[in-house]
Amino acid sequence: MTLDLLASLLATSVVAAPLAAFAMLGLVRLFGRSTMERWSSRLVAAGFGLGVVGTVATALLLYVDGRDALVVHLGTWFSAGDYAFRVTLLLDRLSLPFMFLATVLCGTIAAFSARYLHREAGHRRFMTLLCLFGAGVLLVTSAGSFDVAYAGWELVGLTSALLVAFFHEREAPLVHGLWTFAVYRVCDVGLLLTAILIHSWAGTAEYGELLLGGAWPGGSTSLGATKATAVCLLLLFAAVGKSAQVPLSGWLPRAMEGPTPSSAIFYGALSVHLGAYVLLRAGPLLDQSPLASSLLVAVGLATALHATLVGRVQTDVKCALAYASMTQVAIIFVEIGLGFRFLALVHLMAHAALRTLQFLRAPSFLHEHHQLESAMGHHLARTGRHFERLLPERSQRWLYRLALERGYHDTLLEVWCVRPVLGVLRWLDRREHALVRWLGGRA
Amino acid sequence: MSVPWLTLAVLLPGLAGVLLLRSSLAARARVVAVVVCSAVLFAAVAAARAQGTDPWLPLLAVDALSALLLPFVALLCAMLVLAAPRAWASPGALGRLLINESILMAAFAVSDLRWLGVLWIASYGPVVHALYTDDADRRVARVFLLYSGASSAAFTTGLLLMGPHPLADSASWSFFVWQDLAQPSVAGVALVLTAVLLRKASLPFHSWLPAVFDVRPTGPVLLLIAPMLGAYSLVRVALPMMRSVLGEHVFVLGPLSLLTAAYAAGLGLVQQDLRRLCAWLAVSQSALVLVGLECAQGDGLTGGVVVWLSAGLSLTGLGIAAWLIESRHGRLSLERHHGLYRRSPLLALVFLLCGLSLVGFPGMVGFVGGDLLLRAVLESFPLAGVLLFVTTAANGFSILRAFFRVFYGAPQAGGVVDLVPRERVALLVPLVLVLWQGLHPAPLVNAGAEAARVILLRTR
Amino acid sequence: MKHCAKVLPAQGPIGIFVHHNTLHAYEPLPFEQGVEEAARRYGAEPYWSLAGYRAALAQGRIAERDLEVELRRELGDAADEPLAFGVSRLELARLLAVEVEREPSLATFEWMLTEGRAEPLLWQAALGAARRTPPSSTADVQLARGAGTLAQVHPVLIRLCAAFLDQGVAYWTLPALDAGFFAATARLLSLPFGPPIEWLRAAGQSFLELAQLDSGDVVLTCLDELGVHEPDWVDYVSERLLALPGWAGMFHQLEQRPDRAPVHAPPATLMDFLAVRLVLERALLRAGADGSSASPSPAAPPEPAFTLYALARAAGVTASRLAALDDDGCVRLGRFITRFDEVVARRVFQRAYERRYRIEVLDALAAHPPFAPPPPRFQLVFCIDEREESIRRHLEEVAPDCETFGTPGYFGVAMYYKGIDDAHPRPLCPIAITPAHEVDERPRAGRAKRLERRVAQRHALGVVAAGAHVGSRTFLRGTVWTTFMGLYSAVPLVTRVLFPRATAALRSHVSALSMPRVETELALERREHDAPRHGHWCGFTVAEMTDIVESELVNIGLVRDFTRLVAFVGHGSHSLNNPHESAHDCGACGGGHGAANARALAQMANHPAVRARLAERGIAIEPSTHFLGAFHDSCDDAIEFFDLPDVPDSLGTEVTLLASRLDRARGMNALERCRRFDVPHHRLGPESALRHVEARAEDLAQPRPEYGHATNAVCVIGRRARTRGLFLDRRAFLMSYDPTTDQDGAILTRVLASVVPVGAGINLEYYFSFVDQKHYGSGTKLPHNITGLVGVMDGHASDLRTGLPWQMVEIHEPVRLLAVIEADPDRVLAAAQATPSVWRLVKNQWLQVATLAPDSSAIHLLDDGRFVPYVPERDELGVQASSLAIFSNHRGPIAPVRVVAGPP
Repeated sequence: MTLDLLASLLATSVVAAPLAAFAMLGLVRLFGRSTMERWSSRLVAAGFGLGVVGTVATALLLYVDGRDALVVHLGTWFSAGDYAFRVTLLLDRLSLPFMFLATVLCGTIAAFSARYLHREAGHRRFMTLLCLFGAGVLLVTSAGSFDVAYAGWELVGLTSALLVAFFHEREAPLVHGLWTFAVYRVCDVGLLLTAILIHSWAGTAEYGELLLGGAWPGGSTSLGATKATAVCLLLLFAAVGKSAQVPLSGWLPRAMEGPTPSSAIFYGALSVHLGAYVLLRAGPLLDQSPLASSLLVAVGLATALHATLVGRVQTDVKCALAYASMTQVAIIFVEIGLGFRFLALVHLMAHAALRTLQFLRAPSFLHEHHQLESAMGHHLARTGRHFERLLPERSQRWLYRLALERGYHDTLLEVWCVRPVLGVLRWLDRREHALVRWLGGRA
Repeated sequence: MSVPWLTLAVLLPGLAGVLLLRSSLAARARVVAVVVCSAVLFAAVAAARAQGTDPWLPLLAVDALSALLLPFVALLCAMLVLAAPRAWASPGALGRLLINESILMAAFAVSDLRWLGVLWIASYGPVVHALYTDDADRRVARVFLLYSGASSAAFTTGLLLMGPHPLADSASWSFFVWQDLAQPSVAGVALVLTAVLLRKASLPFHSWLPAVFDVRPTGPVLLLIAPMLGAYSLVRVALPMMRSVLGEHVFVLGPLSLLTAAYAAGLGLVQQDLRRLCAWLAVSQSALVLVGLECAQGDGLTGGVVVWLSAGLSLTGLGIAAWLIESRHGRLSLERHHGLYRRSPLLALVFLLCGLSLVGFPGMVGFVGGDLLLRAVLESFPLAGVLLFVTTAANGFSILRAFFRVFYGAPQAGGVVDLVPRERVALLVPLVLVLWQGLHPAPLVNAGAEAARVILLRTR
Repeated sequence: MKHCAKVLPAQGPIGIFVHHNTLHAYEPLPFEQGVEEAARRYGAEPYWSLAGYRAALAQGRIAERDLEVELRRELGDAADEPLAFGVSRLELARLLAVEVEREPSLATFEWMLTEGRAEPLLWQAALGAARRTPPSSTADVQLARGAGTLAQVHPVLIRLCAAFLDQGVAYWTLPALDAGFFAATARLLSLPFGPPIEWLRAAGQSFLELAQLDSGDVVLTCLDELGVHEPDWVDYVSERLLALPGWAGMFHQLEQRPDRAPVHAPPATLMDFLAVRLVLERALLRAGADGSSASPSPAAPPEPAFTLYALARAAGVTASRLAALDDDGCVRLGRFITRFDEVVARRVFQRAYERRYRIEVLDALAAHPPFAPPPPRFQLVFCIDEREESIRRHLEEVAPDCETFGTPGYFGVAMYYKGIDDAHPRPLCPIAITPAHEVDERPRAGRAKRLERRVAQRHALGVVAAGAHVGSRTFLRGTVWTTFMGLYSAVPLVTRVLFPRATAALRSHVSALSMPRVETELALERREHDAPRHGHWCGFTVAEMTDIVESELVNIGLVRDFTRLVAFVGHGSHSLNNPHESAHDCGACGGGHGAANARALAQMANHPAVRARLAERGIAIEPSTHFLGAFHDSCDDAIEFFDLPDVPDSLGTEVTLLASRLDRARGMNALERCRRFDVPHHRLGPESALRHVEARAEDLAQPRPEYGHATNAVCVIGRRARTRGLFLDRRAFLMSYDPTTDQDGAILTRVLASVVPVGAGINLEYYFSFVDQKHYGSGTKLPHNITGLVGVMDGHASDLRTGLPWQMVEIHEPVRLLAVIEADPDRVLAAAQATPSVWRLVKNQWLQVATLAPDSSAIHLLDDGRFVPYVPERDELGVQASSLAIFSNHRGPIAPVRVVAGPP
């Protein structure tokens, strides 16, 4: 029993540490005091360092105890009538590895940014947001219910948008940050609706009670096929936005406006994988729904094709990496859809580590290119020739153009969705003004 | 209740307001106003804790619902008085504000519903007065007069249609016995509902609110919408009758309010002016309260009451922040970036946090109310509930957009003009409340549940 | 077109960063006029911000006295006359410059009035007075060019430009790239089934119609249709080009110098770029877009009332006195305020700022007694680079028997060079010179086999690395690669971030163990009749070598008394996380390492035939003297010697001794550099300082591996004896020149021609990148994103950023270079006039020039084309025992101090 208590404490501290660091930074800021740059970055790194230790220790304890999973009940946040928002964490073979990944990466990035953003005007802002982001990711991963996951999910969305717009004195980051936020915001509805529907159908949104029997990736659910399909489709919708899948993939290159470490950790490593993570979590539900599974595979395939095509014509390092990232996340989606859950988890973690390193090395690209050339003894071979061999010239050009314009996704969204809706709203707004003028008579 | 807290809370601001209008205290107007508002706040809290009928004026009484609202109104007024920029805070303006406070406190405290009708009409008075005295747009004054007149007429007529004899004794007009003594008149309920829709700027009677926000500073105008006298009157007057009159399955307010919330959220997306954006956000969020009230089940009702307070608190913070921004930097269009972050960093932070709370961001009080409400609404109106998601998504986007446009962009030159101490208090108090209640919502939710229980108890 | 192209930034592909005057096109104008006109044209800043100067004044970087002197100069004779309220013009101007804060927004000011943070009465008076002042004639509104003009075409245009100029980032290259930008774009955009954007479709249609024309005709057609008449062409076209100056400039650069393309030169022409741009814009305009500038409205000119109010408040004038000012006074005051606007104030401040540092340096030079050195044991020739000033100083401090010289770091050897590990030869010489010779590094006798093994091994590693590089980004290979190899990258990820130096050491250790080391030499000598290869001579003939060595030695005045060991020390820099890495390299080598040049010169000077011919020309070098090439890495302060097997055995101990002295010097150098970084340098010793700078070079997270040329401010051309023992704070280019051996001034002409343009170029690039990081510099480097191997963008689709990033210049003090030349004024004037490019810079004051008499401490300063005697402000000079005593516990700039070195 004490073992249980100890493990629960450790697991809670993993999530609580970055939140505490955030709270300290935030309070200091709110009361108008300025913190030393060095202290703020140490605080953040310490928060995540504690997280790494906590995760490893929890995993060891569970291993020693021979258990597959641990559910931590942190109590009821609030309740009204027969509804209660319970805060539970679930630590098992899925969440612990991902929490380990998240804490290690966040900690590494905090250490990286302490030097990288040294003397930058937004150093503390970056550190504060990084804390909140890390806490959000940890909440989503360690969550024991969809409710808790949703809270973390929102934190991730907001911090992402604010970090894309980190360089807020230029206009482009603001525009792209807002676009990113809009996509997130729309897709968040998927997760929120999931949480609520599950509550009303199953009476609980807790994974432990919902996904019965067997440790991850096993387990089953008592929800019927129709309801499972509905839930899975909603989750898929949420995941498509968060993980930049077709047709909402356009925000990912736009998100490259932020500083390199945030691009690395958000869009190379953690944020883009959260969609895949909740789908992994909902594995038993997916098993019930062939429709959702096949749709998942289809979305993944379409995205992989799209991203690999578009990625091949990207001429700047960060966008090329962004699309490479998108390709792999899409393949992880396919793996999940096909039921290879364990493979998907391994792939996800490996990809996150690899891509983070690649993003961090992006500013050294020229240096590495020179080294590579001199090692090869000549210019690197021109790539992409099989396109030229296989395709007729005209379709080559057409495809190239499609890729250069990023599959027209954002254009289509803008022309078919955003513009008509805004047009109607503007018309209504004009009518509002006209009505008041008419009612008010002469000025 | 042995001390006449309620009488104090209701009469004190009125008396002080009249005194201020007479300008005998001109030099120290703000000090007087702050002292009075603090006293009222204290009295309101004391009264709320004690509950029951006032020993001096038996007309005044507090139950679980008004116990939540009275301190809120007092707090709102105190913050407004504290924050008001000097350019605005003339003795006259402060006096009007105090009188307005007195009217609102009275409206939330009277048990005799005839008085509620009178105060309903009176509460429009200060705004009409302000619109006509200041050189604001006459056109808006006329529009406002039209709407307020219509709502007053509808409310009083409806009240009379439902109530016992107009000159009956006070006890038979008390809301404690209303569900037993009032007559189930369809016309009466319909009229009161119409009045409430007019008052709360609900579709299709919403147009006056953005117009008034357009010409009045964002701060004091909050008194029109944030306390939600309309919702309160609905609970007291129409709700007890509604099911029995309209039948179990006729829902008017809920769908209409959902539509209002979504419509206002949509229009918020295309607003090019900070004031008007605040107006639409207020319309959108206050409409949600009505949705919760009509759910008529425990959870939804609790959600409604919690949203009532959380939206009120967040709106207070947001509105005051917007007021302070405008007082420093003039009216701000949202068509371009203003880059005010460097000049007013703390103001930016408060604006963002209050805005996020308003749209239900986790960790803030708005999330709690929103969460409770969402669940209840999805059970009552599954399809229309989708509108609720549109609302939250769109409002969240609008807030971030406004934040970016106002504070981000090429930085404006010039020195820092951030919060002065008095304003800092006025903004940090609602902000701390928003965060504290957001992290530890149980007391608020329990109080909301208690209020909901009282409401249900009085429903026929 | 030529006219228009001048306004574009002249920065080539970023892999070879060459410092140059950012406003090269404005050099025909005097400095102040030039920067102010350019500022109007680009919407940029001519000088540092007023706040910056005020801070400098507060910190004593500008003295009140400097400001007063320069204000008097600006105001002329009337400076002391009272203008209003009995306050003199001088005092008013001082207040305007130093104290007056104009609140830019009326709304905010009104708020301040009501909140009691401004004086209402005074404001009323100021309003009243302002009404009586004459309206300022033409409000000098700064135009923000191109920022928002038809910006909708930018995303499309940027992607097309990037695709066309890409040098190997993208996997798949633009189809039909060889046909030129316009043709390739036309073929791409005229295809059916594009995105559903009206104007882009229309543009595609236009491209289809115009595809047959050549881009010049397309431009004419478009100009015609846009209704631009011939007299306006230049203005219009320049403006269109300046909407995306970085990309347009890159087209222009690659058109001018295709040889500088890092991989392959695309057939870029500026005309093509313009044609594409105009066709797109025309389509957008036809589709009803607003052609007028949608850029944020320029800030309203400060109301005279604001200035009046602030001035009165600063001057302590009461409201009643201001109100009582008569009409005449108002007019005078108004005129004065209009004339002495912010730009003028900043101009005066800039002069005062330069004056302070100038006085510090000139006083020090005048007071510094020439150093009478003991007979030296070693002679070392360094680059003139101001970063080498400190290592030279430290070397002389720890080892007074070392004599040092300065010369441009390509050591007179202009060549293409290909090392054994290099894929391609690259030019190593100033950018103005196109080398005619190529030199290869080759294995020494008997080492060819080892080289083959090395090449094969490196190739194998390269194939794996390239495979990983491409593979990790593609579909199938990427899946396999990431799944199976990805987890391993977690290890380098964590170690490289947390322990950069240890990881780098481990890596180099492993590669040293596994990779065969090959001793090499330079294939330097060519016989007279060898044929050229690829248009270059392979190596130098003995005659050419003799010329090079002679001119190099004569230039620096090293023609007799050679020590037994003479070292040429080239320099360069290596660092990670730094697209601008090449900007830290040797400027005289065109942004390359000077190692090979130093090595080549040493090898030449050791050549017996060369020595024989030198002796014939009067430069006798003892046979016992040996020349040694060496290399100093200015980032991690490593020092490396070349061709040690060639050193005669008798000199073995000498080399060891020199190495140990350099070792101590580089430790001290690292320590001195650390004082500028944000590390607790007073707790570091030379050893730990070295470890720190080594870690910086290998740190992925370090945006400031070194500060490059930041803080450069002065250039001393003369004998080292005049500056030896003077702490110049790494701010001085030191060129060795001996006026006593220069009979007719020919050497000075040569020296000025090679030093002045390079020094001024570096100095001015830093000046402009510092004073306006938005337009001239490239801003903070954190969002920089390498594009097509040619440049960096901010974020994912912006203009190419030119100039230097903020992290490189943040500690710079923007002053014009002060060249102090040890020679007679007349001779300097003649030498400067002999080279037009030098004279243009000198005449128009793009640098300051002073002379130091060879035989006394008299100093003359060039003022308005004439040399006038300079009177020192102080005649004593601070003295300290060592450089360490001077810089420990100081972070900011330090004035020159004399170092009296203690016992070694």
